[in-house]
Amino acid sequence: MSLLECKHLSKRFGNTMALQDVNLTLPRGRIIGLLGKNGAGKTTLIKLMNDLLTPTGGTVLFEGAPLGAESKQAIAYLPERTYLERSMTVAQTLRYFATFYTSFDQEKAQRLLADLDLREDARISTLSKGMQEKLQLVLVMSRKAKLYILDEPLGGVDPATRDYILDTILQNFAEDASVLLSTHLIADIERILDDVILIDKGQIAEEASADELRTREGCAIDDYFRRRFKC
Amino acid sequence: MLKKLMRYDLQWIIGKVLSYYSAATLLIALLARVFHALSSQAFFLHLLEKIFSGAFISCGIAILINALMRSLVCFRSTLYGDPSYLTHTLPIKRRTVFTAKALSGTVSLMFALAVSALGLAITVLTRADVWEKAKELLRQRGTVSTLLLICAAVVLQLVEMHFSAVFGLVLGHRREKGRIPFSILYSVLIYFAVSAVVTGLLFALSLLKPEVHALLTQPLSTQEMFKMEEMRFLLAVGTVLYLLADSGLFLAARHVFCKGVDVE
Amino acid sequence: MNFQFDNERPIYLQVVDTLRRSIVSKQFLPGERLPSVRDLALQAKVNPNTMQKALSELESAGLIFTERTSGKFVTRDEAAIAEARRSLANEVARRYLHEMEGLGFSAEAAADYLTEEADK
Repeated sequence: MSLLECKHLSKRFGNTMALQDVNLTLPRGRIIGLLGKNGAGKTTLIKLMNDLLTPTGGTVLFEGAPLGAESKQAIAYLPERTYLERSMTVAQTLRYFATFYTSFDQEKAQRLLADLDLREDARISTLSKGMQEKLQLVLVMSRKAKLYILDEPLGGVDPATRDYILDTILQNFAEDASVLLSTHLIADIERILDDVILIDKGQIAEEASADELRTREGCAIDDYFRRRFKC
Repeated sequence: MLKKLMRYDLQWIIGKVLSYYSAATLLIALLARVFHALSSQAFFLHLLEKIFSGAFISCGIAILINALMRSLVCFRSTLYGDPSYLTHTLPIKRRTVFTAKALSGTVSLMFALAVSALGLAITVLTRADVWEKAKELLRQRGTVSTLLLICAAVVLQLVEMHFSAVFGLVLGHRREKGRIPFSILYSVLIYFAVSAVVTGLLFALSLLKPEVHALLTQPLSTQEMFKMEEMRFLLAVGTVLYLLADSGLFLAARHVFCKGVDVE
Repeated sequence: MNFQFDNERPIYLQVVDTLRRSIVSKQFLPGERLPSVRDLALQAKVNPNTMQKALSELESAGLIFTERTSGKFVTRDEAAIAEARRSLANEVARRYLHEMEGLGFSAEAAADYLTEEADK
């Protein structure tokens, strides 16, 4: 059974079809890149997978069942924005996660935070944007999930932090889990991808294994992308 | 899960703000009472009594409004704002999430009400002259039940306001992309519609009992109102109707909410 | 091990190449136990799946073998390693000759040039 399946998924906003008849299967144990231009529908698709949007048509199935409390226990989502309660401290946020997520490894999170020099008594509102993003990454990676969905984890982040993020993703890799990385900064992450899904104008343009694509096109995925979706 | 979620919401809604507000309200009530006791001694003490009494009334009302506003802000922010990214991805059923938010608001309102009531008790019931009158009233048959029914009516009215606002927020999000003016409009319309229906039903029921009908259509003094069985009947039926209305509002709002969200 | 990759060619092939060089250059000794797939992947900063695929290729090529309970080891077969060294050297040679040809040298001239450079 596949990990996550989208069947004829569509989403309309007012008069625009953000997603049209998307059919997708995410396998286990793979690092998958969701690549597309800004506005292609990546974030819409991801929000639908996380039950933050209601489909206009079609369904999302996680391990064969509709999205619900069980699927949310197994999906760890890192959105682009900061979603933490600003009045809470880092320590309180950790306890919040530990309270609701049964597979949250609080010790691991504390270790990672210590590495990042993040004090546990710091209030979220006092942290810089970069620190907040790192904190959110740590929180997501400290959960033992079956699917990690990271939306633009490298955007607006310095190169050292980018390396840190990629290392963390690789260190966290488990054979029964998958990672879905959505980004438009393809060159930075393509070397760790197993598979790629190209999305354009709300439809799936291509699904392929990363190395197969490189062999077939004789170039980097970044180059292929530029060629194919030239403005 | 439900209780855990509620604990966090209550911490946010009541938190330091309402706690300090409650302390201040009770302090003002105490001071009003103290100045009342001293008021015969000097004019300016009498003046202070009046000022603090007035201040207490403002605080008592303000704390209720504050509790209502904070709970609605919490509702909107944690379900439709940025923190909703966390709320909606928690491993909890959508129904439970809604119930937790709605109940947290209700508990906060009850807390604020309790503070106001306590303050009122401090300012008024500790006075010997008022207590005498109260004891006399309590000796009469049926006063206690009437008072209880009045309390229930007040509580249910507040709950009706709260749930109307919640329903308005849910509808506003689903139909009007969460724009505030529309949410407010929906809330107000729902509140008046529900109140009108309940009042209408009470009136209709009163046609069955002529004495009750008389109560509704003719002027009366406060003393007499307390004596009448018909008053209690009216209050009792009203309480039941409002209880049903509030439950209906809760279930309707939860039903619409569970159909799904579209978070920005 | 120098794990520099370019995104233009399949990553796993580049990993195979790098590992082969490490074995040939005795960075990994014959019979030596290799780090786990996971550790290698982290060192190389690649996907463990990619590393697994590369190791399978090397196993098919006879340069490493897996012992189910103890892990992966470099082959003790010196001949196989020598053969790998030879084929890598051939690649280098062919590349040299091809590039020199592009600069206008004939194959003989290129060979002479190389001898001169080596003597220095």
